[in-house]
Order: sequence, then structure tokens, then C-alpha cells
Amino acid sequence: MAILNIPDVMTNTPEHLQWSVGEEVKEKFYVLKVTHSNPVHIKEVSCSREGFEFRVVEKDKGRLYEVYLKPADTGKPMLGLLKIDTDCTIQKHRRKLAFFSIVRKRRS
Amino acid sequence: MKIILQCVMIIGMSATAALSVYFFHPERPPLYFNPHQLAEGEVEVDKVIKWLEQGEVVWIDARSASRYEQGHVEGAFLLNEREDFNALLLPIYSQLANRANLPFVVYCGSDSCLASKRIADLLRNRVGITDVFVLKGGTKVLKDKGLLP
Repeated sequence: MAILNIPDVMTNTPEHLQWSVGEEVKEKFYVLKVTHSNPVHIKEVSCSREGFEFRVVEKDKGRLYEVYLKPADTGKPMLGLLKIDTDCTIQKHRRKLAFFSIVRKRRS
Repeated sequence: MKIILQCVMIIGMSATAALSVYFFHPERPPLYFNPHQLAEGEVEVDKVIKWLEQGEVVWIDARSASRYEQGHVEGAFLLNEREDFNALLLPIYSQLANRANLPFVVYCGSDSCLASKRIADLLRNRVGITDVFVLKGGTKVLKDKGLLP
């Protein structure tokens, strides 16, 4: 069976931001790069969890963005996501999801 | 005659080298077929049944929506890449996130179907769920155990 991977019009690196429980509260960020031939602009960002601050930095309009995320505290494990709405003309790619988590460190 | 001798020598040296590597390699595979051998991240249905006896498991059906609608494990969530992964994930995300401490078991049609492995990778690496397993044997073993109609 052949698997055809159709590239995203916007990639986010890393795909997942992670903090460990008890880790210093520190801002981390995704790099969002538009790989589509036409520019794609971020219109709105919303977070599935309360207690997280986020901000968007436009590095190259329609081409390159950084989305910074900071938890209020890292006291307990949780999962969350950012919904990043864009003006992409392709319906399927209009909303980008960026995931994050606070996890317990695994015992070795 | 000389060519045959050279061939025998080359085969002999290759075999010696291969056997030496095999003998000393710390992660050498078994020389016999083991039907219970699991790939990394795989789980057998009997183990999942034990988990179910002890508590809860989050089932993820990685087949197409039409197959899912024909019948799925009770409580299983539909999640695949044939349809839009994000669109399928969003409505069920909060339910998955609230159960992230439970083992997630992903199944598809068979061992040769790569969908369950791909979805398990996405759940681990993109969504951030840590305990995600691919069910060895897929829907066949689920039917055998009466978990799938």
C-alpha cells in the first residue's frame, strides 16, 4: 500500500511544546512557516486551557510567525492546544492546531 | 575450477563475518518466528483485556468513517488521516485530554494496515499522549474476543 503525504500549507516546529511538572515557568515557542505559494496570515489564536499566556510575533508577514506560550504554573500534568485561525483559502488548512502539555517526568 | 574455489572462499568469508556479527550483536533478532513477538509500541489483546478488568482503556478506531459506522469497539473514538485528522480530533479533544492518564489502544483492519501505527505516532508526538499502543492483530483479534461486532 502506498501512502501519499500531502504537505501542510503551514508547518509548526516543534509540533508539540512540553513542560515537566515542577519545571521553571518559562516561555516556549512554535515557529510557523508558510510553505504554500500564497501568503497565509494568522487571524486569531485561542487556547483550550485557562492559565496560559500566548502571543504571536510576525517575523515575515504571511510567511513566518512565532507563537509564544507560557503556563501560569507547571504544578500538575495536563494537555492543551492552541487553535490558530488563518486566512488560508484552502478550507482544510484554515485552522492549525498546535499542541502542548505539562507531563510528569518518567522514572528511569 | 579456480573460479569455483574463489566463490567458495568468498561465501565462506561472508558467512563467517555474518555469523560473527550475529553472535556478538547485543540486539540480535531470534532465528525463529515468534507469533507473540511485539513490535515497539504494540500490545496484545489479552493484555488489553487485563487492563479493562482493572480499569479503563481509551479505544481509538483508525479505520475509515464508513467502517467505524458499520461497527466499532464500544466507546471507541474515530480518528484517522483519510478524513481530516484535526477535524475529527477537535470535537473529541477534551474527552481525550481528560483521559490522558489512561492507556490508549489504537486499532485498524489488520497488522498490514499502517493506519493504527500512524495515528499512534500522531497521538504520542503531536498531541502529547504518553501511553499509546497499537493493537496487534487489529479488528480480527477484537472479533475473536467478542469486542467488535
